[in-house]
Amino acid sequence: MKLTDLNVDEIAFIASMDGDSDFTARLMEMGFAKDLQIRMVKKFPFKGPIQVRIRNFLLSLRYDDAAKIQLKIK
Amino acid sequence: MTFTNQWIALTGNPNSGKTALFNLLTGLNHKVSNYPGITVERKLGRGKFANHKIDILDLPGTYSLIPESKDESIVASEVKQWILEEDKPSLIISVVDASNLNRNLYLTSQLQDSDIPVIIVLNMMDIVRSKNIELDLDMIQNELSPQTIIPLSARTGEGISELKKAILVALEKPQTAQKFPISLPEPVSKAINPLRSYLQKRHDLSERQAIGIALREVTNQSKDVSFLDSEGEDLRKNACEQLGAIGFPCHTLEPTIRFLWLDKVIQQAEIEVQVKSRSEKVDTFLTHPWLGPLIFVNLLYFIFQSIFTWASYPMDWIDGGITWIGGFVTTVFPAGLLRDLMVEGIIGGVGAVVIFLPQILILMFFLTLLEDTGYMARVAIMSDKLMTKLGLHGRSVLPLMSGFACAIPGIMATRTIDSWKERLITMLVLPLISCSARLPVYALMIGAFVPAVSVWKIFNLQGLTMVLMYFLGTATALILSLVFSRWIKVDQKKTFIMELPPYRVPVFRSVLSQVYVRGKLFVSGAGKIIMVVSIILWFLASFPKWESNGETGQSITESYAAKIGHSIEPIIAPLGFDWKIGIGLITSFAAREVLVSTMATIYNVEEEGDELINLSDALKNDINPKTGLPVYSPLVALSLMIFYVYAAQCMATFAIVRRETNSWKWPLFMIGYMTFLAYGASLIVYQGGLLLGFG
Repeated sequence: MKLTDLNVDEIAFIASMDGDSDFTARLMEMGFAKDLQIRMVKKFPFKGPIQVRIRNFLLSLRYDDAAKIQLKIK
Repeated sequence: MTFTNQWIALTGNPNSGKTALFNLLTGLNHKVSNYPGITVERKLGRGKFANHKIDILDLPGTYSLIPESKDESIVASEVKQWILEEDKPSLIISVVDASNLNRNLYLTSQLQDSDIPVIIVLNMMDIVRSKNIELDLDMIQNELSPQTIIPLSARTGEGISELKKAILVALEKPQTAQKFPISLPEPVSKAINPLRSYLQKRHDLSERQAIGIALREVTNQSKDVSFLDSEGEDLRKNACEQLGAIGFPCHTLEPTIRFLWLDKVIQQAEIEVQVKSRSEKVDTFLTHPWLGPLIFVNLLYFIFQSIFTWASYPMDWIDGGITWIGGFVTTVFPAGLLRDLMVEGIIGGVGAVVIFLPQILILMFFLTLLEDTGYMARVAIMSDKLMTKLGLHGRSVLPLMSGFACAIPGIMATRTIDSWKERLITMLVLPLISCSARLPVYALMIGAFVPAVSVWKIFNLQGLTMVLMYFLGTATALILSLVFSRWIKVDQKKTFIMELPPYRVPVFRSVLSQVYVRGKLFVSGAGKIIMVVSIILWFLASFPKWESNGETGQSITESYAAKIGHSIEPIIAPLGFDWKIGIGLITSFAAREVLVSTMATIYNVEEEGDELINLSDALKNDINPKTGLPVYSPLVALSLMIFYVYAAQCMATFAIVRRETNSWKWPLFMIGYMTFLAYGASLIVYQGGLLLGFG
């Protein structure tokens, strides 16, 4: 499933990141990694930005970027 | 032991509390080259440690040495210089958010590969402790081998004195680990080995430096800051091919390797994800889909309201002070040219502008507060959707809001926007936001020509006119950004990744020190221009003197200034402006607020007596000798204010845009479109007003 499909307050695990290399590299530099837990915190209406928690911080992504992150439920 | 020529670099992630620590270590001893942005400018401060004074360089916050935006590439190229050249810091203080250790230590570990000693400052320890999180400092010390680790809280001040002691120890007995701390998987090591040994020979590096750089070069796709020539580039391509074949895609190699290691050293990653933080609960209201924007608009209203109400008291004091100084100089010095120059030129001119310092400081105070509490990041998120529709970026909001204070820090703050197209458009429309330099012009014209009557019993017509001017500039800026985004074709990046820092109580000393530094820049930077312009103007307005019947005298209408003003009068007459305003328009190229000091100087020179005049009264009472009618009407005032909303006047802005865009094309374009707007809008307002019978 895509990160944008995750409901608010649900937790899943990161499976893979598509998108161009700058985008995935920056996500990984900020601590994104395979099998890491991620929780959906907030979704802004009309396909606005989404807010997630990974590790111990809140991160915001544009909807289209978030759709490039694939999740799995362990 | 003395530490001459030694200096320290301060680094850290955004939101690590680095700026607050910098302000605590250096107090008010800042040297900001040029104008300050929101931590995007090269800031040098002097810290005092025991009896030693040592310079500290505050670098922009960054997550990595592979840059994604302009301010991040400052750090990357700075570190490159340290490795390749002689001038390097004796010590790096790496500020780390202790509640986000792994992510923060990523940058630290990159920096350690430069072979410069690193002190790790674990900031926000008060928060970590309140959550009962145990940190295994010995483990971090053993694995990363920094100089020392100092637990600290910039907010409570704990750990500061330990840090100061540790700095002195580190300068006396620097320690670095010679060995690269991560044991690379065998095939990875083999793949990057040719590149590593090439780098080592080519730049005369240590083994550790070379491994670190090889990892980064293989990973870095954008190549903004590179160590490689064409030969190195070939080796990089070879390494990439091999790495791809063994399942380590090269564009993610460095974060993969470092986080595998860091996550083994500190097993913190999984604990916190489930816990709903206090900031998230606060965000339920502050970033609520419709409540959030409502709160933001009300906050803005409150800020602008306070700028006009609170500032009026200190402004009255300053006004009184200037009048007193003028009177004092008049009584102490003998009458003559020197006294005239001091009273009419310098004190009158500079005083007319310094009076607006309180308003600027209040605006700066609120902007710093919003930034330091973590609220501005929320504003960026909330507005991103709308801003993208307008051709801007969520991160454009802070620069645009800074623009209400001054376009220059606003333009510098656009460096955090990592997409070039949106950054360019933000810069292009930024000067349309009414900056504090327009405020004196609006305030003077409204005070003199708009009656203080109430509208519908709730609004004051003067206040309403002021709000209208601000609205006009802002609305035009947003409309034009939409136009420009359709029209400018540049490559752009669509991604926007932003950390939302937890809400924090700001470190009050740090806020005050930032406001102080900016206030000082306004007084010394703008003050110098205004002083020079005031003196030149005073000469132009006071000479030539005439002599007849043994008496000397002067007449402003015969002065050089009048000649210059009259020569441009035909161009500006259709807008309702006379030669006096004409001179003001010319001098406004130095800075907009100079219009006020120009008018003050002209009327002071014209005035027979020794008293400093009240400029607002002087404007109202100015009678055209030919017609016997007042020179200025409310319509002229309106036309002039609208001219100032749009006109391209502040040279410093264009100099900064030239530097930031690295071409004359964009600043010239700005001057062109703004002049067109200003002339057109004023012409329509004045001529339209005349036709409708206002006048």
